[in-house]
Amino acid sequence: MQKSINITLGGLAFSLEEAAYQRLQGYLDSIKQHYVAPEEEAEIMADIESSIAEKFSRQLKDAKQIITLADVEEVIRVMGTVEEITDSEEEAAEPARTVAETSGARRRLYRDTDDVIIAGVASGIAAYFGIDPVFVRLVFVILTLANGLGILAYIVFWIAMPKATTSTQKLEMRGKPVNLAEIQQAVKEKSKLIEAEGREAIGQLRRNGTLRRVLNFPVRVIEAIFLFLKRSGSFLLPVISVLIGTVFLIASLFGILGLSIAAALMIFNINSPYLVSDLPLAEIASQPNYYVSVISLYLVCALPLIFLSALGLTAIRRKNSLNLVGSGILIGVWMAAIAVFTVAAVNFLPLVKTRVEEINRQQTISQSFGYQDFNKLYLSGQEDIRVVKGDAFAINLSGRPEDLSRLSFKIEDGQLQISQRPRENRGICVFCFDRRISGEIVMPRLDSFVGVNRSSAELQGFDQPLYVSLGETASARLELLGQDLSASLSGVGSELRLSGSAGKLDIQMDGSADLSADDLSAQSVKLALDIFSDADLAGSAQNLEVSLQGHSQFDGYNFAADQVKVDAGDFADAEIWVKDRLEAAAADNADITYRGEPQVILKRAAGNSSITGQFDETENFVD
Amino acid sequence: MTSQHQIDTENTRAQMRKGTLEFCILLIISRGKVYCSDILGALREADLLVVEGTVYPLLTRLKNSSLLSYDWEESPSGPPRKYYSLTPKGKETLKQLTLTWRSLDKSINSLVKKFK
Repeated sequence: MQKSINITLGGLAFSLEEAAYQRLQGYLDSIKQHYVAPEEEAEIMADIESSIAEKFSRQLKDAKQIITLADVEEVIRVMGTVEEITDSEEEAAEPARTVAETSGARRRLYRDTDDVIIAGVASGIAAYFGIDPVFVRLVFVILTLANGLGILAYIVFWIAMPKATTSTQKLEMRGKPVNLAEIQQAVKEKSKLIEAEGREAIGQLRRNGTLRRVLNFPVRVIEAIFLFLKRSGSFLLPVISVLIGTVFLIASLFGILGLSIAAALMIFNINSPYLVSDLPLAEIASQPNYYVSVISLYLVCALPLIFLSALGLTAIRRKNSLNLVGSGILIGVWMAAIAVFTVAAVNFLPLVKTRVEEINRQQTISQSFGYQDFNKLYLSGQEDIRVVKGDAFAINLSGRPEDLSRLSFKIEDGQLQISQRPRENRGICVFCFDRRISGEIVMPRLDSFVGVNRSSAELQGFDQPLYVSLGETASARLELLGQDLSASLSGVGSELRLSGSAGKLDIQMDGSADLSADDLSAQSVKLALDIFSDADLAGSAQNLEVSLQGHSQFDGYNFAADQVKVDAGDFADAEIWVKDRLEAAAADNADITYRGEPQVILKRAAGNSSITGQFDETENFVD
Repeated sequence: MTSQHQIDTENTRAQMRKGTLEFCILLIISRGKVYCSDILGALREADLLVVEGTVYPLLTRLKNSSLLSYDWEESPSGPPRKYYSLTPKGKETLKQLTLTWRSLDKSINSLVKKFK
């Protein structure tokens, strides 16, 4: 049993427990003592009392009659202790309840007027995403180089984004920084979700402790990574920024240097005999606006590079190297240069254009060559040649006279060798248009074909066994008519395309060679691929034997083979369609996948490699 | 003396908040007649409030320097309530304080920006 005391507070009557009454009385007295001037004291006390009364009546709402000590303590906590209320000078605020942590939860796009180059769009966007403005500016510059998209985007943003003038807006602009606590919170929520789902799925499993640990593991890892990034971020960011800045600075300085050399050549040395061109340079140079257009073109190309180098410098110094005036002048001069170049170039661009067209059209001639009695062919140089079967020998080539005159012919041991000598120019070649020679060679029988040096050939109508060899950047298309073919593709960029039907195919590839077939049928196919070469076949064969090394790749999902033997190693990759029997060996990070349902499968995988059926549920990794 | 010179961050923050409290209260009251617990609510919402008790002496002081005045009005439940409003002098003061705040905000922001 407890005694209760009735009091009147702020015009309302309350019943208090005795302890509650004592506490309240002490509290009010201590406040009262603090004020010296009587009229001030009375007023403040009245205000405080009526506020407490309001709180009490709120506490009494749910069928409660008596104010307890706990109620009084709660009210005092909200009102503050006497020190907190009265002492404005020697304030000791409660550390637990502070401001600012929760402010600025909303985030909005504003232009940042404190960090301006043009209108603060980039820095505003950067503030929104919490990144360094340099990166946003880089994006704008790069977009500007792409058809001026950046300028358009900038103007749109400029119109759409309000200026951040008040501090609230500035806060909103930066928003709440992504802090670790939030990430942890999100991660924890996610882990709870995963845990709940896991529990539902494996309801009868009662090893929740273990389960939770297992399920939480990836979450822990992410947490740890975030923690690491957060800690190292302040250290890494300057390093990355300096690296990127250096790359930009050096690249753009080299660009400016190259441009300047080219411009100097075109201005001062245009009539030099060491400058060789297919264009009538002297004629162009005598045009009235020539120098104006060269200089304006130089500015059009160089100014963005200067801008880029300034951005690079900004990234290195981590301090703005650009200002509104400077960038304004740069952009103004750049636009003026574009305008000047457009106007000036109107005069002589048609001249250049008609000249180029003339070179392209007029100057080709056809020529026949009377070489005979050869059954092997060797092509070197820039030629597009069709080789067809026919009873009589015939060689018809067309091209520019000077290009044709550089051709040399030689028959050696039944092999016709066609090659092209280099230009006999001294000096620097600007605007040189090398034209390819095209034509047709007719011959009754072809035993061997060799292509090197950018030659390209199309072989049609031959049915004897054939040997093909392709070197650097040579390409050939071959129509097979049931014969055997052995081929060797070596040299970077050699390319062979096959079609038709064949007996035995034996092809060796290395050095990034490329083999493809659209619709090929063969009795047996034997491929050896090495060093980044790539074979892509479609069609069918009875026997397929593939060996792959050195990052090479075989795409045979559309090449149906009855019996397959595949041997892959060293990061090679093979895709196979097999019908009856598969014999596969993989080693050293190679991957073999197959489709089809062979009756016999022999697999051997070693060294982090895999051999997988397309519909296999499980992959069998063997270490 | 020397030991007291240590900077107590918590104290500084509280001081900053306190220094602006008067201005904030004037701002809140400027929208018309405002009941005391509405003032408290607005401050709490803006997270500017440490303890409610600090507000009452402040209101009294503002009233005594005739920036504020109040009327008693009937309440639907309980005794009549005090409704505060700005005096012309209060409005003038608020205008001055707003200008001061703007320039203060600007200068501090530029300093923060510069020496961050």
